[in-house]
Amino acid sequence: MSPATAPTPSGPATPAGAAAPPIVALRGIAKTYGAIRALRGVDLEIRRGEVHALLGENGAGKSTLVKCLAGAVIADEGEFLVDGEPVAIGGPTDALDVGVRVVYQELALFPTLSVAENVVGGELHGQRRVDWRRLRTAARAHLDMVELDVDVDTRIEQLSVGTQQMVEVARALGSGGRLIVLDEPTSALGQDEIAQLFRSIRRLADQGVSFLLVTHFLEDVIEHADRATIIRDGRRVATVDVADTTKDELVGHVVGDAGRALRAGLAGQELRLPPRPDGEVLVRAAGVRRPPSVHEMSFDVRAGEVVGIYGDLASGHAAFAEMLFGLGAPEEGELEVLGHAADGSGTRRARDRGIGFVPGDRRAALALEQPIFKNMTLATLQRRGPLLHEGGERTVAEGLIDRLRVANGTPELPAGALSGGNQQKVVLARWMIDPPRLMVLVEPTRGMDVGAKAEVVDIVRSLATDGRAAIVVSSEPEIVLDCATRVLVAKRGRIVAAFSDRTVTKDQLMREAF
Amino acid sequence: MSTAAVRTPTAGRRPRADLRRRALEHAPILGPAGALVLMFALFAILAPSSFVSSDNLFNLLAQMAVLAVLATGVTYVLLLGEIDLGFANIAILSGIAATLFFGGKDIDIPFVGQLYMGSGTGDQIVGIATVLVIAAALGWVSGALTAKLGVPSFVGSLGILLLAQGWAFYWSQGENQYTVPSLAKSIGSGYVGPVPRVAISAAVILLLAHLVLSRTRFGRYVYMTGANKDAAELSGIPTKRIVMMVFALAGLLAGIAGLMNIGRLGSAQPDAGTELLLPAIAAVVLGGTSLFGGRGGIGYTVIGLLLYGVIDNGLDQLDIDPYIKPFVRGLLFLTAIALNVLMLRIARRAQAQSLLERSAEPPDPTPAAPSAPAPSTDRQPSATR
Repeated sequence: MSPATAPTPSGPATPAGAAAPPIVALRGIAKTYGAIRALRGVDLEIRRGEVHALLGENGAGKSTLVKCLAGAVIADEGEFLVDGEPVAIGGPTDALDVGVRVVYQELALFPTLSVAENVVGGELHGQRRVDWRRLRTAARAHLDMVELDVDVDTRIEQLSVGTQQMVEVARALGSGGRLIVLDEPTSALGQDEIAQLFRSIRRLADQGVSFLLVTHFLEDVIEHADRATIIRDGRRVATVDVADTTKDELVGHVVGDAGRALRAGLAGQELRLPPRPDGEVLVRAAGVRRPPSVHEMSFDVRAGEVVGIYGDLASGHAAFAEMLFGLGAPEEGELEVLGHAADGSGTRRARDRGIGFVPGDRRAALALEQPIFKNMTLATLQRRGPLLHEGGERTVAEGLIDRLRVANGTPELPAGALSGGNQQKVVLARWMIDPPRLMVLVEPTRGMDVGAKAEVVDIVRSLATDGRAAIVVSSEPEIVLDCATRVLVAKRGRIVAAFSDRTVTKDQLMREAF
Repeated sequence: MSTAAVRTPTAGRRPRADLRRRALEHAPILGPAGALVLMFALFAILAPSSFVSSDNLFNLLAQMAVLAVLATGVTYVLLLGEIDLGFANIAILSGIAATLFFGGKDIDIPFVGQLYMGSGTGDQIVGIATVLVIAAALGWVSGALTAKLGVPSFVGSLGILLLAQGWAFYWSQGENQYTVPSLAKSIGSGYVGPVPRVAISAAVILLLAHLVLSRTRFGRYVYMTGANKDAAELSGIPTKRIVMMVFALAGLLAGIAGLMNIGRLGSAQPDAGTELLLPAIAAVVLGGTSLFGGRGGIGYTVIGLLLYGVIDNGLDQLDIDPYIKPFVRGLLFLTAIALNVLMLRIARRAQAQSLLERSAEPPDPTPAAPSAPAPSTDRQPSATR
């Protein structure tokens, strides 16, 4: 029984399939960026007609490996074999020639063009006149391959994200793709769309198309993949048959004991969370729902607490955080912040009520061409009267630069001249001039090195003293564990677990989240 | 500009580096300033007696005064990263309305009835105030269309242009109006010593606008909203209100400019809007205020106005075919802009170089591109060492 005809979904690849050379094999792939060794000799084999999952933490090297497959990054070392024959991949076109197609998380479709133009538009190259009838017929044929029933004249932007993804898969197949790499395909999809996507994937795999699924949803892997390769710190940890493994085992591979021990100083192998304080309730959420991302969130935050909400990008925790800062109101349920109902009445009112906010996207936080001091004082000018006192502003900024150790910072320097971590400190400094009663931070340490992270943790903790509280929202379990006195886990718009007054480990959080 | 004060604590520590950086920071002004010097020299050579006479130079200032007040509003709007097309016709409408209010005529308001304003001094103040309220309100509508409805400001203010144009045409019945209120004359015509009064009016407004922009919270909010609207919004700045206020201010300034204009000319012409629209925008852009927001200021606009005025007035002093003058003006405009950009590029490079020297740190490891997630470098070092 060859894998092309294997009817069992999520069954392990058969011995017959294993005997044939893998459709694509990477051997000993290494890639170094400056001082960072992103990949240190990774092997990856993908058989014909299998759904292969690639697992790893943020920064484990998944993205770099995918870029090597796509020819977007040229490996420093290692071999690229197609059907057992070594090939030279010198750029994206070489990867396309051997049948590798990557469907990135940010889809590469033209939103205002039709499905037909998107699917076969690339084949128009060199034609003087567009033969619309032929274009539609060809597009229809491609869509039939993925059994996608949409009108080829529909504009892409009118389709759901899940359907758009299938349109990209159709385009990939139609242009001769044999190995389709799907980068986090389910993170923006609802349950129904996920089920539909995997049905299509399985059907195509049965016809001999191979899939590499880059994901951190372990449930998707357990239910839908044939094999999984786990990488950690730029190395392959294991390749397993999914039928022979468990979710716990996968988590163990992903997190790794050695890695955990190394990071014990920061993340802690086992963290003891304190009991909840008796402080005033500053945030009360009851059944908060705001589609598309927030479905049912209920919890409260007391003065003196740092509540960490851990979850991936699709968990809805960031959208929830925005509601706390006056950006949007719940459609259902109750959300009370510092005694006021969260009614989406704008950021100014939220700030004046005593809420501070650090957005996850740093580009939305700083005016990079403006001096550091103007960025630092932006949120507090309102309380200082209508006339500016730039001398005073500079002094305040100078003090904060020293206190937060903003490397190379001077008040007049444009914020954009700082490194990412130091830019983030400038954003935090904005809220330290008059600390708000409730501080909401989204991904406060994204892109920062370990030392800077530890400093941010100290700052966040200091913000939750004297009757104040902070909420830290992140997709990095370490930062949540380091900052928080209470940890919540969000998953697909719901709070699925809460930890306080007990020990908790990163593994536990990840198990709850995925 | 706003950063010119020298009281920063670092000034004591590294005075020379600080001075150098501050010079670099204001390097963009060198572009238009250099172009201004070159253009001035060009016309001083080509038309030494007529161009460089005090009469002509004061005349140049008077010619530029109305544009200067309009350009002030444009500067505010551009600092927000928006554009306003309505201000010139708001100015024309204001002029027409002021003459009619002062003229003791019945004014027809469609569907409402007749409006009559007396011509006494008290009535005149009421009339002028009404003119300015109308002007500010029209500007505010542009801003509200942009801030509240999300209409691009180009489109919204284009609508205001058409509306104000039609309104002025209807009230004036297409005729020039000559009943100029004495208040408008007092800010638009006459001299103080050798200096045209209209130029003094413009200078006062430019100075006030500069102080508001550089010394008040409102001015800071304008810059920061233009530099990054999201960052301002997420710091609790009511950016929508700022946008509406700036457009209303541009409307108000257009109203004042309209009054100065009829005071200077002695009549209100219903069809003169296009003579003011593009020159005012051109002057601001020549000065180097960015069309994308957050960069520039009144100081830049003053240089731009002078540059535009020198090109415009200088050409009038040359003995060349009058039909080729507009073409030559276009050429000189393009030359000045190209010169600006080149100077700016040199300044930027020097700026970046100086920052590189200062910064021992590696740059932000996360690339700006939002595409495929880059390898996050944050955790690997901990495992390496």
